[in-house]
Amino acid sequence: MPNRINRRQLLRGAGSVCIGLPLLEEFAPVRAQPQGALPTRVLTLSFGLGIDSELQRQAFDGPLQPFQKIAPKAAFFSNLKNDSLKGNGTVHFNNAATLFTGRPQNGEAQAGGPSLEQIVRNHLHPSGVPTVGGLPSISAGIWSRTGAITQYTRHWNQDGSPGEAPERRPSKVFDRIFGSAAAQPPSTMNPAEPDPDFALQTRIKRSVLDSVKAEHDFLVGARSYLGAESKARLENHLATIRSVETGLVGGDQAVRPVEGGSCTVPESAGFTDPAAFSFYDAPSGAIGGPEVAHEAASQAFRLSADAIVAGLACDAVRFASMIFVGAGEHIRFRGTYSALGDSLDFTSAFKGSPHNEIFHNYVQSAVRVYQHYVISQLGYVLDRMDSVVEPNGKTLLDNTLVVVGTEYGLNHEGGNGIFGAVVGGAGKFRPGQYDGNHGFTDVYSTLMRAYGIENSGIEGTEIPGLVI
Amino acid sequence: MFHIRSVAEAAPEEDRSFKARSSGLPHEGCARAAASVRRPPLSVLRRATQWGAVACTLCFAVWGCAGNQDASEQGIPTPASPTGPLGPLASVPTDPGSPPIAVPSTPGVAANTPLASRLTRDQLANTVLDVLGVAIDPEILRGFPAENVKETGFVTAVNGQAFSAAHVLAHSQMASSVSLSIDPVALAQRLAQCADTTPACATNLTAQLGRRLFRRSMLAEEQMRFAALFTEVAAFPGSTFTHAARALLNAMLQAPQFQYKQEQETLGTPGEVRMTTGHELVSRLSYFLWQSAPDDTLLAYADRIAAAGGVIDPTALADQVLGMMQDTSKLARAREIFWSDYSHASSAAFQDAEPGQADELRESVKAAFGRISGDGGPEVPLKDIFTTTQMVMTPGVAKLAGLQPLAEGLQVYDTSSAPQRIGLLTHPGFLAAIGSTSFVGRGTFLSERVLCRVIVPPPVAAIEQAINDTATTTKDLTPKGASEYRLGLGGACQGCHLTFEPISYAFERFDVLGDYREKDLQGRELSTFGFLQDAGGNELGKYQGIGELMALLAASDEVSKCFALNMLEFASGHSPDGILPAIDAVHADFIQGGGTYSELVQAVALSPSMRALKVAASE
Repeated sequence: MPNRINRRQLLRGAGSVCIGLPLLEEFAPVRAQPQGALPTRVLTLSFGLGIDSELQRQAFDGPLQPFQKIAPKAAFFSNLKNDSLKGNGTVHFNNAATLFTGRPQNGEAQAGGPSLEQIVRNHLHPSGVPTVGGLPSISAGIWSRTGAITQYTRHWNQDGSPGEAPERRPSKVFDRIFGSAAAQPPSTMNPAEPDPDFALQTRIKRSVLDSVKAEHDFLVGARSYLGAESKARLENHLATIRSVETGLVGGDQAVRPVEGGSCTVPESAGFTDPAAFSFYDAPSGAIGGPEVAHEAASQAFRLSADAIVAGLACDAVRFASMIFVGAGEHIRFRGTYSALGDSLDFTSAFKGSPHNEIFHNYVQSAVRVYQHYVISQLGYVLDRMDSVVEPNGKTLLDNTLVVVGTEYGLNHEGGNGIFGAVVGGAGKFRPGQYDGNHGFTDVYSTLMRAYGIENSGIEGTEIPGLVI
Repeated sequence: MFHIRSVAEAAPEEDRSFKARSSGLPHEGCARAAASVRRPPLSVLRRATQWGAVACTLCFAVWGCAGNQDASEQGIPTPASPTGPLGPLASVPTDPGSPPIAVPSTPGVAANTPLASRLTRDQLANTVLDVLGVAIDPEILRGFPAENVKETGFVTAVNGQAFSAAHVLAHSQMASSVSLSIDPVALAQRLAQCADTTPACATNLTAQLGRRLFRRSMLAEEQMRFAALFTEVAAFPGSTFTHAARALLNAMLQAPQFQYKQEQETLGTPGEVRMTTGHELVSRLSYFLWQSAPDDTLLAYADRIAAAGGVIDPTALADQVLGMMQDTSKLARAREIFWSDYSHASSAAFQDAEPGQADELRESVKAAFGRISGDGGPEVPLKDIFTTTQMVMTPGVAKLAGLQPLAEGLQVYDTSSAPQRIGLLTHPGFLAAIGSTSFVGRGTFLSERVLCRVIVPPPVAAIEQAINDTATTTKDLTPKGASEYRLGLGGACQGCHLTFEPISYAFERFDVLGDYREKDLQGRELSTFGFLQDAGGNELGKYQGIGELMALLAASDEVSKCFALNMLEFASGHSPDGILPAIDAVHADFIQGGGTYSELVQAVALSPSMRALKVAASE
């Protein structure tokens, strides 16, 4: 009969070699919120199916209206190109792989390199992000389509392999950032008797972790029996271990943020997952288009956004990606949505899916309303960030680099006319409208250079006037 | 079409020479009781023997280039004698640090370049259970992110494996919990006949644990590093043997050698094809057939291959495979995963199902496919998938199929009385898993899954043009009528769509949950007439009704080759592109053996491609 053990036993495990989060958080002292300079934070926001040039020109009289409030802080790009990055497969597959990577995809399930937030993370914190819980990054959002991994993955590792798929459940997003116990009242917490073996355990954990890292070092080193591709895979694994080392070892590291100033840890009870989304827990989405009331999808996305915004403000997470519908998405939203003096009955309009019904058949008037619904979700994130005032007197949005992107411009045409935006960026960028013939690579390489990263691996030309 | 080359062609005589080198000592491991196992079909043995003619002329070293040096030569205590599972083995081969050897190439054999492949969640759970006897807590297992599974892919796929901090944290938590749950003293006594903190015990325990967890003999330097960890922890103030042994196990469970299936990718000349070592072979076999680590019998078999200079005796290999297939409980794990992915039940959302109905649909279709392969019924040829009228369902699913519900739980239903319910492609669970009723959606899935056709994404502008041009004309037609009208126009779309849309015409009467109706909501008669074309555009036959389509599929060579291709993909974790030349031989063995799931598994397991790899470049 196999032994069966559980997490509770782990918590009681005196004399154990206990590693992992959030198991030890009650034991750990709380670290003060970092003082002085604010941390560098990067967030990518993506959406599917694009906005054509004509609708972009409508600016805030069109589907981009939800961005109007934050426009003074944003650089908008209306004619981005990514011809040079095109690969094989459908436009949804290969364009989506170039989004935030600026490199052509490297196979159906592989991007050509890391995504922007991972480049910055790795550049600034190769040995782990010093957030209160050591969380290196998080990815969340609403998506379903899984014809290819590139359709929904926006976190790409150093070797171009996919990182975590965006988490759909707000409750899980909250737990990842703050830990399930963080918002519980003290009376319900595990009393967590002091572990008399604590010092020994911490020492053992360090030795175990060093041992694990040494094995990785061996396998990526000169005496390794692995080929280049496998080595790259393990190098990424090792980098990830280093990025969460604080959390793995625990010890005297803090795992809970201190509230105050711009940091308010939300109540976990508020993160009940809305509606019974059939695709919440589907392993990798679904072939068909799941039906979801548009209000429910919006609510779920915004709850996740709330958790991430709070996490950014509390320094519980510094690097994140959010997605509201994947590339070539087929979710069938339900209900009537009204905006821009128009309304669209999603239920009757999307017998199939928005993808088929209004993009393949390109019904621009419907796209205009539909994408307003989509952009309003991303706008919510930006507005929330702009409502958080940080110690330097500026808002969280001002202090964070937010990059907005989508897969193409005009209906399935991947080459040009693609919308994008750069928001915030700690005063490094000049807001405004940029309509030149710039490529994804130009934008991304300019951003990375502005953040002091000369060797990002993205080949592009600096965009004149963008960097202040 | 598949390009096939026979095994005999694949290994020309002039390539059978080699430069032998063997510094190892023979090992006498626990031999599996081959006499008790069923003999393989002659066809399989014949091919294995053909390959054996090549294999027997080859000689290459085991792990670590000359890894079969006896442990006692390094001062490592050697267990007394072999015993059963988790018992000591005859000796502990290690790498004495010999220089690289020449590895014989085997040009012409279809092989993939290996890639370190992270154990899937199931493989991880099975490995820990089988090697250590510990069932990982489901709550901890759920902490592992779900695997990426493409709509027509298998969970075992090497490419596209996601990796993030969530994996690291979950793995760390798993390692901690498992190391806490074992009794270190009992484990050490069983494996190493010691439970103390002496260097000898440290070394032997390390070697014995590493051998099972890493699925091979440890390299000398690996063994030294892990033994050093044990010794270091044992020396901490207040520490005991228990602390040290748990730390050792914890570290090994987090080590990349455990987490990833690995091979000596760079051993040999980059780009050339070489045979696997014995340990590489048994690891491939066990993760294919059992979704778990090799047991002591297989490891001992790998030792014997090493001791024989790398020679793989075809009869012995066939006996090993057949022996593995006698372990029905382990075999069932792989079977369930294969059919879950094949039917898409594993990753489908069943978004159109009522609450609770999704699980019934999922379990029903998995069980229905499982029964074809002998789970709960006699094993029958896989082509019966298309013609069977015996389907496993729950009462709720039976209602969807238009049948009178029987007792609670999964039951076998005779569907011959239900209209058009012939073959498992008409099982409500299968249709609901597809999640689409469009001819394109169903047609592409069926074409890719059942016929293994590659549907090249179309130029979207052309599609839009076609749809826009025909929208007015087709607006009053049924979906099939509109499809036929568009296909009849010819042009860019026709050639491709003809290869996948017509197969789905037969299913027009099934709604998204597989419920049968004869008219659409507008009261129009739905058709079941259609035709089938091969990938080259040649008509294979017309059908009137689902039964005739199923008969066409059951008789199709393309369909049965697709089973072989799917199984090769499932087994190797690679896209079948690199091993396409192996398909014909596998297919021939599969059909000659009776065309069952077991014969297919056996044919793939004994395929030369399962014991060949293309050497990778180190940089």
